[in-house]
Amino acid sequence: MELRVSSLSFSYPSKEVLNDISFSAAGGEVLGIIGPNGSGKTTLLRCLRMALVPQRGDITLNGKSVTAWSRGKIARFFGVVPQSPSISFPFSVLDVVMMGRTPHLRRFQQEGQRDYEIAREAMRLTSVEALYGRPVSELSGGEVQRVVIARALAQQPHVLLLDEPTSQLDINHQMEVMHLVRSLARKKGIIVIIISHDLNLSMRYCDKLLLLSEGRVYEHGPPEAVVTEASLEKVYGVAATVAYNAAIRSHQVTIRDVISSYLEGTE
Amino acid sequence: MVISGTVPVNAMDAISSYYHSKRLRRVAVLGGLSALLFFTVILGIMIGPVQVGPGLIMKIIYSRLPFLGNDVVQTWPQYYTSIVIDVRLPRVVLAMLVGMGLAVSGCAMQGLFRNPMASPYVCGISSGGAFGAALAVNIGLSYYFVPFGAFFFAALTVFVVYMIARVNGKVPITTLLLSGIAISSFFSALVSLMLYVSNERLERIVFWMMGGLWSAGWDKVAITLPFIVISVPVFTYLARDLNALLMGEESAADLGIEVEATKRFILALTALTVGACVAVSGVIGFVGLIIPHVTRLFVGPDHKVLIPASALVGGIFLIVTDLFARMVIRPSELPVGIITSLFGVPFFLSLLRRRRTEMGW
Repeated sequence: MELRVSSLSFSYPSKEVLNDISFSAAGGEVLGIIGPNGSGKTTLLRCLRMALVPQRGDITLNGKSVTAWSRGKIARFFGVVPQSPSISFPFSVLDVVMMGRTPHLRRFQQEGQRDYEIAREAMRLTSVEALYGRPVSELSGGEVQRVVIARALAQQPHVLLLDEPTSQLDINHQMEVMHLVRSLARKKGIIVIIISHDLNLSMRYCDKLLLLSEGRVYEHGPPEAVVTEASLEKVYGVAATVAYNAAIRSHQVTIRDVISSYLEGTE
Repeated sequence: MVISGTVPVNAMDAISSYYHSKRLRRVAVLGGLSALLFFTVILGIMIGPVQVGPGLIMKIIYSRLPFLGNDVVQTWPQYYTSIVIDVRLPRVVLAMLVGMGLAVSGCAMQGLFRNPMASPYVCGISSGGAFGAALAVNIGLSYYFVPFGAFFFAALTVFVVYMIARVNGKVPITTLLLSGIAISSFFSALVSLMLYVSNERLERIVFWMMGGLWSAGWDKVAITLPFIVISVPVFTYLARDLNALLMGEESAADLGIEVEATKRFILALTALTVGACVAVSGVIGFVGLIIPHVTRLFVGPDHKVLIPASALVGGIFLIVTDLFARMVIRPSELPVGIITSLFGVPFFLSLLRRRRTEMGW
């Protein structure tokens, strides 16, 4: 499985958001999208699944362009975990996860035993089995997040897109989610693309990072090649130290200071 | 396949029995409500200036069935047959159909708009229909054309509202609601104008607008029946789409729903269904707003149960309120639209206060 994005550009009538984005990701791989606010991360994730239609460029999955696919077909290949999902209706957890089967069912087809088992498996993977009958409207933000990940997994996606899935979570759950998506990528061979604000978590759990700056790819590659003292200064305007941490076998960032010349521009 | 369904099936574990009992509960709820509807229909036929026993009602109806009824020997006075077959049965059936149509449309609208205020009338269906009826009356068309005028303008209004609200091929819900309210006001003004200039026809228009079933007959049933017979099952088949839409439009699209096409389809179906109801009964308020809410409180938000259950509850509710409308100030009767609001609203508000948090809006 290979997802390839070539020269993708998207603009709203008044503003260009993405400019000439190209990258690829392979099955089993976790790709982290990082970048400051407004750099186009969420828009890119929307374009990938055709929720927004890019003006130029192409997106291919195993060499086949997805741009003309129906919503149903896209949903059989792309599972999406939106940013801070909130479900205000008292559907039970099992009901919500079962909704992930929607794209696989024909119009008049009822969910069957197999769909139920797939939903069960998704709930087991995200540890929400114990919540099965609880109304989602009564769950905590972190629990809802995991339920929504289970729903996306029940779609049996080849590509899992997550938009800041950890922003609402406690640190232990953040780790769990990152761990979960990486093991999913490894075990099931799916492509995981994850937007994150947390540079350290991204460096630790992602195989590759895509650093966006003002709608363009600033850098794309292995984490330690993308998140460097130079790129952090340039893109985020911070003075940082990037050092290898042997305890977790990953490079980690320590922000030392905000560079004042960048601050002056905004004040 | 990314995740294979390899969970060992332990048939009796808690989740599994929850999942399977959910289906049973659905059958039980719909079965129970259907039975209740049946009894309400019989009750609606029984009660009136002349009481008719349930056994006799069954016998009379049976005797009228093709083939089956041929060998029934008539042991009752002929006027019982005409009371049951020509007067009460069509009225009760019409009340049931209109109640079903309004409730099921309201339910779909609330799901589509994710808005508790949505009712079948939000897109100007009622005021469009009222205008159509008033126009038909005013230009002196015969009694038979009034429903068609109502139906035509109800459907036309929704179409106009939809076209106005459309931006770049999409119809944002807020724009749709706002343009619906605007067009609604416009048609209301036109109706007032009609009333102002209508002189001796004023009464007919006003009566029509208050909503009532006194002119019920098999001709009216024939207008409404096909729409309800089609729309209730079709809305039920759209349950999965409506459930997904409750997650938000973008999430629904991510689950494979063609959001805009679904929206168009539901709007069109609602326009036709409500148009068919408004055409035969005038503007009966609050059924489409309240019945789905009340039903949701008891059966939950899942449209697979909610849609058919709303239809059944709507049918039951309108038969009962119409019974009141017939009986309260005998020998005259009240417009049922007044009863639905007078009794429905306090009941709904008390429910709302007690169980507000469970409604999910």
